[in-house]
Amino acid sequence: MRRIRTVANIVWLEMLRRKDLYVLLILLVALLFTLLSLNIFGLGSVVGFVKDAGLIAAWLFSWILAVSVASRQLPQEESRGTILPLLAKPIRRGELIVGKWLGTWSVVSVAVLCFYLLTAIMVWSHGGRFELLALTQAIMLHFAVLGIVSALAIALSVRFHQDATATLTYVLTATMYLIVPRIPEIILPAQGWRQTALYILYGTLPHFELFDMRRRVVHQYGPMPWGFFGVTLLYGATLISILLIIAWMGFRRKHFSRSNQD
Amino acid sequence: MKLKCESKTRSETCTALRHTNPQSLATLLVCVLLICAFSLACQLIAVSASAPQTENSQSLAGALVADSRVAIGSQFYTQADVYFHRGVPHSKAHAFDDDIFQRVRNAVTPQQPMHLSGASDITEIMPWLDLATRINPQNEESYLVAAFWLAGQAKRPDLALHVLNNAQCNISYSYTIQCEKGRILLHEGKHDLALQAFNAANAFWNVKADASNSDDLLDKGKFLLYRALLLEVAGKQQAAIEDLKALLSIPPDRPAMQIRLQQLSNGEPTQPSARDVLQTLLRKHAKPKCTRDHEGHTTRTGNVHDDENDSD
Repeated sequence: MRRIRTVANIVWLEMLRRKDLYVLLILLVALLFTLLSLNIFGLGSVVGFVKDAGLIAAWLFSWILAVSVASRQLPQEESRGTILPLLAKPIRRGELIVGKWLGTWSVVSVAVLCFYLLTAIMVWSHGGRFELLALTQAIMLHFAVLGIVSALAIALSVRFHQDATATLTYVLTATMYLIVPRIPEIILPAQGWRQTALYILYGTLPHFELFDMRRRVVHQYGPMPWGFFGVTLLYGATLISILLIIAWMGFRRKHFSRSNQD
Repeated sequence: MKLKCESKTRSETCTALRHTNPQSLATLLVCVLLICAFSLACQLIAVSASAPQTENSQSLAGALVADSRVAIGSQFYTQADVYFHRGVPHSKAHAFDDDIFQRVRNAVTPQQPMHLSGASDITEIMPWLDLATRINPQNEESYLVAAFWLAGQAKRPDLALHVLNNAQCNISYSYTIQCEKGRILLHEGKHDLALQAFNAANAFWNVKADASNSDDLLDKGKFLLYRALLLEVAGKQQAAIEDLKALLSIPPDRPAMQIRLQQLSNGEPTQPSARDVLQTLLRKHAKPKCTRDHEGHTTRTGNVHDDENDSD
């Protein structure tokens, strides 16, 4: 566990050195200020849509951050050649994978917490309100989805270069969020093998929409039933484990040589 | 001798350049480039303003931008509708709807539509309507819906009229905007201004509407009815009779109005009075109608809306 934590700490140090998070935070502040300064039909400040915009921005920015941070972890070690001294140390490859994932996930989760906090402060300061319990559930489910995105990017980065990994992760995760929940609609006119293929995709691809509590939070429906909340978290944990195992299987026998470096 | 002179001049220039501060040189260069850029921009604006505009001169990029603007505006309008139903979008047909994923999803994101009600709640839909009108100022429906809610539940008829004035600036000759303006003014008790608005609606209808289109004719029927009643209240019986005749020439049949016309033509007192009919009409119009085909909407206070009963 100590070795995993050390690898995760390196990810943290790298992240603090880079400016991605600060840029995204500044963008979010600018967006929220702009929206709050709008005078809607002379009604003054209306905060409901600011909540929505803030949460959409939190989802979008955290997605970008998770993919960009996770997809560069292993390819960068390879291209710099630092993977060789790293693997020469008493650390198992599985621990390296988990460490990289843990570092990425924790960094992105803290970032997303900052996004939520910022949105909440802005909304509260303008007289709006969030239901604390529902917001906590939403944040936890958001953490889970970020764990899945990070694990997917790390699993892909085992075999692909950084750019290819990032592109593939963006495409796959966007599909999982936008297309998979619509399969019950799309499947209606489909027949034959297309229908079967869509059923298989629906059953096997991760359902990101299950982790999105924005509607519940923005429209104040209150917290979701705890049973369903637990099942969703368990589903997220299972997906993360599967993806990390796939990453480890692809990484454990991977051969590295100095000639591989760019 | 000449060569010597030239080399001497060149070396002097080089020395002079060497002694020049590079920062001031860069500043000078930036200033010159800025002046050039500004002049070019002015030139471009002048050229584009004087260029003849033909119908087909719209570039592909221009067409794409215009189409995206319409699409985004319509998306914002749909978002307002979603907000009005507390975040629940239009339901769509599904091949299956009882698998584990959908059961969990229904628990995460509620699917039962519920209407917003009350001034503070209803203002939540306004930002999306405002954005829709900002992105696509030609979106008449967004202005009308915004004005309806501002005048009704939000109890801000002043803002509603302001929205409609803006709409009239952006959409010329819109009789529906004038008709809505007249209705709000009528509700405010400003009969003279309301009559002016209905007159404008009638004038615009003659300019813009298609007399063979049944929807356009129905719209005309609405403001003719309001105008006839207003004229009757003002004691202008003859003008009211003219409007009622015009109204009765538009389908569907209106037996109550037929009787009213008869009474007015005979110089008899009308029953019910024009004021009462106006009040009833305004009350009916102020009731929100939901275009969604689902039933059993509830408000946040728990009342069940039955759209069938709410409709005019």
